[in-house]
Amino acid sequence: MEIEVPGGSLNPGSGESGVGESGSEKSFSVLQVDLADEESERENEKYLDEEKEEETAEHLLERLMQLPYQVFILSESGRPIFVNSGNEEQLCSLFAVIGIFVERIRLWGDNLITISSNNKHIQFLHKSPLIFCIVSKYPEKLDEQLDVLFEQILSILSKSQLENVYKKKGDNYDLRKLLRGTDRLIESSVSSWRGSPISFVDSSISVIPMNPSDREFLANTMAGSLGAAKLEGALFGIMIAHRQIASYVRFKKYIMHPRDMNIVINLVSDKSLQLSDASTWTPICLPKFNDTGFFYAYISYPWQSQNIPACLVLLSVKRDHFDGLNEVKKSIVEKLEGNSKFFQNFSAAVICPNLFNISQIGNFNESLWSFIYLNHSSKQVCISASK
Amino acid sequence: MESITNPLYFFTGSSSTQNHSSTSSNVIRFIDILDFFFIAHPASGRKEGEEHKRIMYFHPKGESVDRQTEVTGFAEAVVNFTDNFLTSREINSHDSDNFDYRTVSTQKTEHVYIQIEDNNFLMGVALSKQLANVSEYPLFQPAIRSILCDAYKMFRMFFGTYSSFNHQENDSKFKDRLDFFFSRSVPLLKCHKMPLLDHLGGVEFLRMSGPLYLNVVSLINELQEEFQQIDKIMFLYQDKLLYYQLSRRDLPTIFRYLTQNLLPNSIGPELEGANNRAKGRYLRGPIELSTDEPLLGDESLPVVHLFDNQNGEDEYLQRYQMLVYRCLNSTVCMFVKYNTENTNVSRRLLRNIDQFLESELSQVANRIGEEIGSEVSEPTDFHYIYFNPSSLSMTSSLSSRSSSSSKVAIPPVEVNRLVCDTIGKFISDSEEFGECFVKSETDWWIVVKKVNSRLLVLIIPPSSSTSSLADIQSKTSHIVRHHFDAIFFT
Repeated sequence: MEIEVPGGSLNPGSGESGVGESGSEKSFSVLQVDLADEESERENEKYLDEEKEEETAEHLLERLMQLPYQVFILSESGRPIFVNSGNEEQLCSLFAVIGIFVERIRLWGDNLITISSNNKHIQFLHKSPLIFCIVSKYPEKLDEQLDVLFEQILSILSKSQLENVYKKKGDNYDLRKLLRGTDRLIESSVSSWRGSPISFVDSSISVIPMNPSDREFLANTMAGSLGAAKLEGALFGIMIAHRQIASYVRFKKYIMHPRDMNIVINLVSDKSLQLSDASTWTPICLPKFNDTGFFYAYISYPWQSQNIPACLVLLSVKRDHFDGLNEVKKSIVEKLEGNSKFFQNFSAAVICPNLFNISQIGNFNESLWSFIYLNHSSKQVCISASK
Repeated sequence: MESITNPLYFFTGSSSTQNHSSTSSNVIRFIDILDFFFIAHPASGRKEGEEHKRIMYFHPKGESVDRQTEVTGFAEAVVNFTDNFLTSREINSHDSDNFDYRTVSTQKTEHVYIQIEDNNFLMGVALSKQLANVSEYPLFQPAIRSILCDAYKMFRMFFGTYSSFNHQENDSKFKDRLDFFFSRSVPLLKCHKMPLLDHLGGVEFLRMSGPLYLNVVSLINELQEEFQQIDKIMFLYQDKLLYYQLSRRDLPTIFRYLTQNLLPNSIGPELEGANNRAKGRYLRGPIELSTDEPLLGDESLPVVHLFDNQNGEDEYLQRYQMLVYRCLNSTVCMFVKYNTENTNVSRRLLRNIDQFLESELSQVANRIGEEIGSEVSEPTDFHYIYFNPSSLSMTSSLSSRSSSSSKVAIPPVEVNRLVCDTIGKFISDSEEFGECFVKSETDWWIVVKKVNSRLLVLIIPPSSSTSSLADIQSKTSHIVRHHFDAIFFT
């Protein structure tokens, strides 16, 4: 097992343990998850009807314009799937126009990329069977934001499921039935992306500042417990706080793409999962790893009751690993709490994270105001406080 | 305008203009990268089945009506769609000639649409990315927009606004005029390989000593004192501007017409009649001034529509007769208010002005010639663009009619593109100050300085003495001190 120590000093090779071999099997088949067939569609429609407020489209649009940006997701036939104000139905004519634009340009043998005016920038992304559109005041990196959105959808419904749904149910299928309850995740994937340093560079992850020796202990502990459990198919362990990585361990041959990492971060940052003394077991597709299958994520907030906002995520390709991973978690928590000096430092670092300090890269330049550091191989980004 | 009496007064001898520019590789032909160009009046195509009626002009002409309808319909839909996301203040914020615009970027093309005359008309252009690549032209949206706006302003200068045609009743006349003008002007349009020049759209001023400038100003004052019919005057030496009384909205357009169309076409006869060079002459209008025949047909003077604000704060379009008098590289452009009742400019007036200018102008022109001739500017080892938005003064080693030469070859297309990107992304339009140093992958340096809204762009070729940022900073201050000291604060 290999340990990656974000921003730390550890030699990546030194964390290998004996269990590395168990992870080197040719491949782990990633399971397909069958979606529960929506039998009570009528009930759903009723539910949606109740959700609708008596609001005119103009009114709604006005409210939408108050937001810093607007996101639209629709099917190729122009059927609304998502808008970040909710109430898609009222804006269906707007959705239809977006669909027509994309289709018109496609018929001309071309691909629509952007439309802009004096201070609005509209980016389009057509990934069959979906169309994405974002309207923003700022033009920077809108294309990447739409990629992030697309992958966020894929993490909920894998690519193969997405394609099958429209094949089976027809072009006019209302995908919202399958995405119900995930609006918050779609919304937060873009809003957090826009507000964080990971957007400075393509697909990076940001790292929570910690004492290097503490981080080393954390990574070793996670790697040790995960390795000792000998769970074939349990590939990754991540400690997350404040949408940043404290530590990340993985089996040798497997690498988690930073964009996949951000999907996991986005998932665990959702308030509904942050229960004390409870663990969540949820399927999640990591599109950069494999966009046709699912991982199972064991998610827990071991110290939620002590107001330590750290989250431990263990990822396996096996559906029946919940109990095994629950034991791994117990072992990790026990070892971490057992080292009181570490645990004190760790709690402080996680509860009230500091930004990296200018002095960490030396005092030689008096006029240095702030720095951003990107590690190209690990895609980790560190941003300093300003002087 | 009742009729076009001498219809070719604006693009006569287009062939010679073409030859003039094709020798310089600073420019490309707009038409070589053009996908389509259109003018639409959306209100005319509102009825179902009559959508094609909104098309007022379309290039290329061979395009099917269906395709023309699709293209213009798409543009209209883009405008309406984008309006959804703009607050009403943003929609109505277009002042003077800052037209409301939309851009569309596809994998293969870049489109720009502008809304003109209270959003009653829509003009659009699409350029092909592939053809632009072949022509080594970096597509820069703001420059495409400027070219489109300039095309409209040129039409307006000669024919007045689109709305003035009252096209509802007179559709075919309007379309004829558009066809007449744009079918001739679009093929002649040039784009600078450095798109920033088209985007900034300034005019080149002649730098001269104070006393000499006073000479010019007093000549103009005397001229206006003597002939009070003359409303506005513009003074050029060679193809540089010395003095003007026009609205800033018209200056670039008329300057471009004079320097790119009218003057190049008049140089030929001047060179032939070398023995009679000190004698001034009118470049348009009658040749025979000794009679008192009315000015009709080919002899009548061109009429242009220029902005005037003498009766208040708001500028409005006013028709003027244009008199262009030239003597020894000096050009005096005079504008006399035109109205149908009065007889306007007569041969007698032309004769009197000729007599006045003949002696006065040749003296001033001679003095300017002496001063210019004594100044030999050394070619620079870098490229530059300087632009002052308050005077519209622009000078560049990359412009098509640059007299200020540079030893350096024209920068490669990637460098030109990087210059545009740097300006677009790092130098804010609304900020008056800014500074930016960028190094290209091929080791060219791009330095952008903005001081009091005045913009200086330096493009410095790769060299062993400019490897570090410190090197380039000292090089920049050296350049500013030696070349831009008079016009640019450090």
